[in-house]
Amino acid sequence: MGQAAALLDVRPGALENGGMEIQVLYFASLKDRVGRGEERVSVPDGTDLQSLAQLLVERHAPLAGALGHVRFAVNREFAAPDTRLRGGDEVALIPPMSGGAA
Amino acid sequence: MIALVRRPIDLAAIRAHLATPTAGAVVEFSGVVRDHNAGRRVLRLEYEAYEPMALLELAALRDLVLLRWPVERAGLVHRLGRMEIGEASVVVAVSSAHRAAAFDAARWAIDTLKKCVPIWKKEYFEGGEVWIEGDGAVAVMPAAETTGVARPGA
Repeated sequence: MGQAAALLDVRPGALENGGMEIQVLYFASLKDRVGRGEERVSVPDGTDLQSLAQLLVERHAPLAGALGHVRFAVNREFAAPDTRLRGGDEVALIPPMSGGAA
Repeated sequence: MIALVRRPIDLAAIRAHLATPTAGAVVEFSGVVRDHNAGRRVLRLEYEAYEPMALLELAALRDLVLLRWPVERAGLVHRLGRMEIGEASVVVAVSSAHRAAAFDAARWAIDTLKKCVPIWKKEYFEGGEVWIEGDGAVAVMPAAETTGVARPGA
C-alpha cells in the first residue's frame, strides 16, 4: 500500500466511522423473502457471519426462522459461521440445494 | 468440460469432448424434468444459480473426479432458466478405459453436484409454485412477500 493510500485507508468497503460495507446475496426462497437478490449492508468492524445473520433477520422480518439450514459463502467459498468479515466481502446466503432423490 | 448454459444442453459436444482413443467406456447421466413431484402435477421447472460460485464448484468437482478415479475426461453441464417436461436440466458424463470407473465417478459426481453446487429449482405445478430446498423438503414462498415486489435477477 502506498503512503497516501495508507493515510486514506482505501480498503474496499471501509467506512469512515470504522464500520465496513458487505455485499449480501440472496437466492431461491430467501430472495423471495427479502424481496431482492442483493444489497449492501454496513456492519461494525470485526463482524462475523453469525452476527451478520442476526443483523439481517432484524432488517428483514421474513428471514426470521428461515436461516436454520442456510450455509454461507464468503467470496464464493463456503465459510464457517465464526468467519470474520472484511470490508468489501461478498457474502452469499446459500439455502439447501435440492439434493434430489437418488 | 464444465458449463452453465441457458439453452438446451448440447450432448453431441459433450460426447465429442469425452471421446479419446483410450476411452472404452462412456457413462452419461441426464437429469430430466419430470411431470410429477410429491403428489403434485408439475408443469415446468425454473433453475437459478449463484453463477460464479457454481462454476468454481463444478470445476472443483471435475478436478476431484479426475483425481479419484482413473477416468479420461469428465463433463459437467447444468442448464439454467425455464425448462419444460422432458428437457435435461443437468448432464454428467465420464469416459474411462473400462466401465467400472466411469459408472462410479459419474454416480459420485451427480450426487455431489446436487448437494454442493449452488443451484436451485423452482417448481411450477397445477395451483402454485414452490422452491425445492433440501432433500425432498419444500419451502413455500410467503405470498405476502412475493406479490408486487420487484425481484432483480429473478
